[in-house]
Amino acid sequence: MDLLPSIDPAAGHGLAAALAALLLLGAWAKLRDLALFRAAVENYGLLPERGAAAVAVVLPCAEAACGVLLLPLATRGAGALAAAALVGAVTLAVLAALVRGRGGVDCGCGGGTGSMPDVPLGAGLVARNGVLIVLALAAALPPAPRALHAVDALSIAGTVLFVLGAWTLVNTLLAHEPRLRDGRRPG
Amino acid sequence: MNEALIVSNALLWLTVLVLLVALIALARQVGILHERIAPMGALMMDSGPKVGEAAPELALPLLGGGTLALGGAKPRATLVFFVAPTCPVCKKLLPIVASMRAAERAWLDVVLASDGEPAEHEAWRRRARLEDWPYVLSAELGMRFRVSKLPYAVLIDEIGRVRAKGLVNSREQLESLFAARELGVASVQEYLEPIVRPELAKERA
Repeated sequence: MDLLPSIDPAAGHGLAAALAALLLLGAWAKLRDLALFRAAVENYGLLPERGAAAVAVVLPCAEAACGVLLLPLATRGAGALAAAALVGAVTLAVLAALVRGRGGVDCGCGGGTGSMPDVPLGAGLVARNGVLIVLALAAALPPAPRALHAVDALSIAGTVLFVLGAWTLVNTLLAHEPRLRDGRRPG
Repeated sequence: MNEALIVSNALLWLTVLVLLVALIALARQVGILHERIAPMGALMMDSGPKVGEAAPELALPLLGGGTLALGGAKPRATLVFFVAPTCPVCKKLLPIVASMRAAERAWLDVVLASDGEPAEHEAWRRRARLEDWPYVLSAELGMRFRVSKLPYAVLIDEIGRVRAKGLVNSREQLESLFAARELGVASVQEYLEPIVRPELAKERA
């Protein structure tokens, strides 16, 4: 008898695939411009220069590894738990940086050049990561024994596209938030 | 019945995703609109000096004391590089700016510009080892040039005219600021115009 509740297989597959896509895209964005990500990690003000350089390489690799582990059914549970732990650790770093008064610094989550501004450190980022951890834990649940139908493919594809879209939307809104706050004038 | 539910499910997914795309587009437009109108509130009449126009003559407070006179005729050209401690792209570009500063030292001064709390900038300057760079803290300078995104650079020539300016995210964009000067034109666009659109250039002349 399993103590863990199970998740509907369509929801589980959809969530796992969506999280894998988010992690792999995030890792790619960071690895594409390592110098920029290293500067972002240094800006957190938590690590000495050499430590920041090491973290800047290790973190996106771990992110990519979690993304890859999420894809096959056999390693999905481990990948999802690792992803939740990774996001949890990064969020603790964000909280530590916030406590040290470094709010508003770019988070280095990817972006920051071109038209898409980067998400700044703040409460919104912590909330976003909290939701991500909950989704990762949900994806770690064992899928319920149910036969999949053709229409489930639609649900899975829809879930993946929806999560990616919602992710872009939340990041865009979070990136604009400080400008709206700066623009607010008294009176 | 079952088939009808499947069709309605597919249609609903389609609707949700189309609405999501529309929402993303709206969120981006909010950001773009904000960028366009934000500096106007502070400085309604000034749209910033254009390339080829004279740069404003300002006496700017230097971090660590003293002032720096910007604009007007000078023996050397000046590159004003707008940075902030919160901007990783600035940090990434600083070594590139440093190598340019060394290579072009015969004719170019580089000035770092920012605004905010001096203590924060002082700490950042020490961490980034920029003690020997002139570093000005002035909200007015940023507003005069309508700097809304960082890192931003303005190249001012020896007679105090703005030679090139813009958002710089890479070495190539920084180098393009110098390309305009080397070609002896106000901007790279002006140089390209007779080649790309000869009739437009003739009209202007």
